[in-house]
Amino acid sequence: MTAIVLDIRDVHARYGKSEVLRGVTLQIRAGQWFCLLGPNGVGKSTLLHCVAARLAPTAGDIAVCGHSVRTHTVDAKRRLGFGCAPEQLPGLLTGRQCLEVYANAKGLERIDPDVVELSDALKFGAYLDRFVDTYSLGTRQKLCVLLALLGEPALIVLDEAFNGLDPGSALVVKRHLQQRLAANRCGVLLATHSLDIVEHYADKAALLLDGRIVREWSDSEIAAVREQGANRFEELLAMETGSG
Amino acid sequence: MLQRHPLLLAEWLAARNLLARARAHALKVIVAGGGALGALAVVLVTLRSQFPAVFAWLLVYRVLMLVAVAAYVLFAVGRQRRRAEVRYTQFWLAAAPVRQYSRTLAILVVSLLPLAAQLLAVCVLLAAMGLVAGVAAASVGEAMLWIAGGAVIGAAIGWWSARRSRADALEGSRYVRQVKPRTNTVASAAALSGWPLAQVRAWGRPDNLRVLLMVAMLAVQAGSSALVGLSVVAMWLLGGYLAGLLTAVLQTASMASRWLCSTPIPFAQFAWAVSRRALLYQVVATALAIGLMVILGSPVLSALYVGGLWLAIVLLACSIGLAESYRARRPFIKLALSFAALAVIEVREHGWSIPITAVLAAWHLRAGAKT
Repeated sequence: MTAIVLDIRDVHARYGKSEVLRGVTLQIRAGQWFCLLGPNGVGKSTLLHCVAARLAPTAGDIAVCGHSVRTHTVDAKRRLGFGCAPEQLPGLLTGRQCLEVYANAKGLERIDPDVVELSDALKFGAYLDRFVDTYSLGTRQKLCVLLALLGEPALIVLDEAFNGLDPGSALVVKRHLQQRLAANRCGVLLATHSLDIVEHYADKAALLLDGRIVREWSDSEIAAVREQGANRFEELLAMETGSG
Repeated sequence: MLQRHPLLLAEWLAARNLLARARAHALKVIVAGGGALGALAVVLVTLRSQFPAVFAWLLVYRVLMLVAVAAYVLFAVGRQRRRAEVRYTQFWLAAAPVRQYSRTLAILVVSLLPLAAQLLAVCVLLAAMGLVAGVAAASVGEAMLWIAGGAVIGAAIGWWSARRSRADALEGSRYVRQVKPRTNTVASAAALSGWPLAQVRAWGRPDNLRVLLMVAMLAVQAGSSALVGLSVVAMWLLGGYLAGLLTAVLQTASMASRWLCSTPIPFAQFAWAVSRRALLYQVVATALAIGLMVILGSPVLSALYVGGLWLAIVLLACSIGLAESYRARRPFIKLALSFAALAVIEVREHGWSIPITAVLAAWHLRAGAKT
């Protein structure tokens, strides 16, 4: 049995008076690619922000590799790789400077060689010494992914990380994540609307509706849906969300 | 009327919704607004003995004041018009069939409204100053009229001068020195310490700098020697740089903390990385400013005192900004209250504000470190 890298227990969270998460519970093990699905505005990004300690839950607890995000924040963050939103990157730093600062903030001695390799595979090298505010959305997204992978994180949290990436680069990132997962080096939590990723890469998926997990799919269930033919997952989701 | 002007309607709805959203936090807004007004009232009452001299000075130099206000408004309206033109070419209604005169009207309103609000605020402030100091209403009214006159002249010229501006958005990094390409990538926070400096360079692009240069040149008195004239201009530019650098540290701290909040970076490392080069530049530039003040005839001790006071203010502002940003809070209320308190202390007990500032700064840094 592999280690649990993320343990979310009965988490509630709110923005002002509006309760966005109403008791979310889920677990992710090392080697597992977990996709979080759901319509816009149901709390996917809020849940990810709670995992990254950007937002404090009003109830419940979140543990990254056994370290509570609430009480042992620094230990939890050491094991976390969070892909920030592209618009949050600092425009007046270069890509290389962003990598250097982020690595320093994570307490690393040097940039991981496999992140450098991934950077080359993504053809990001040409942009390393340019200012971030001159990047396109896809190039910013590449940098966000590279930052999330720094420091051998046990849990990689990505929010719509494939938006804006060209198909070739997206494939490179997916394969890189699969390699890490195959070696049980990490678990991946991805909030996405891309059902292609769920069908072909996810080991587990969950549907978030109105701040609650209303449906979970295991590896075998995802494989069964895939065998039922194209668009089957889309139809299932439409039925679950009542939009079909 | 707004129904016939879609751009203005969109702006009006956005502003109305913003106010409605603020109403949901009515208590916070009232407390913050009340606190700011209270702090302002304390400062006004404390400094009221100085106000008759301020009004007398304003009326003696009324033409200079008119020119300075006109120059400020001229550049501000021109800049606002250019920004509005750029904004409306990228607006979500850019593809809608909006008539040209409706678009121009929207640009006019968007360009002039912030300045009208500023003018109103200045007039209210002058009225309050006149009221607490018992200055004759005629003097207050005359000062207001000169300021309003300068604003009208500046607005007209600024609007006219910006009419042929190209709608080209300037990248933030255009005026920042390019970074030398490297082959090695090392884990280092060095770039973080260069971020506030890069931000000041980005702000210091020519279209912003010319306003400061204009004011600096107006500040040189007729008949001054070349050395004094150059020192005055240098003093203004240096002052602008120091204030810009302080603002850049506060802004950078906020942006960097949002970016790095998912990393385990400790407060001490974060604060040191963001502020160390900016603080070094502050010390060097303040030393230069002290030298310039001495050249301009200020006694050495007074110049040293002003320099020390400025560095204390920088230390306090940086410590509040860094600590509050690291704790994902906004620093503005604490900054306003701290500076109001310092102003009162400085007026009542000359010289005490520097040690008190150091204590306050240490207290805020400790609070940040405990997060």
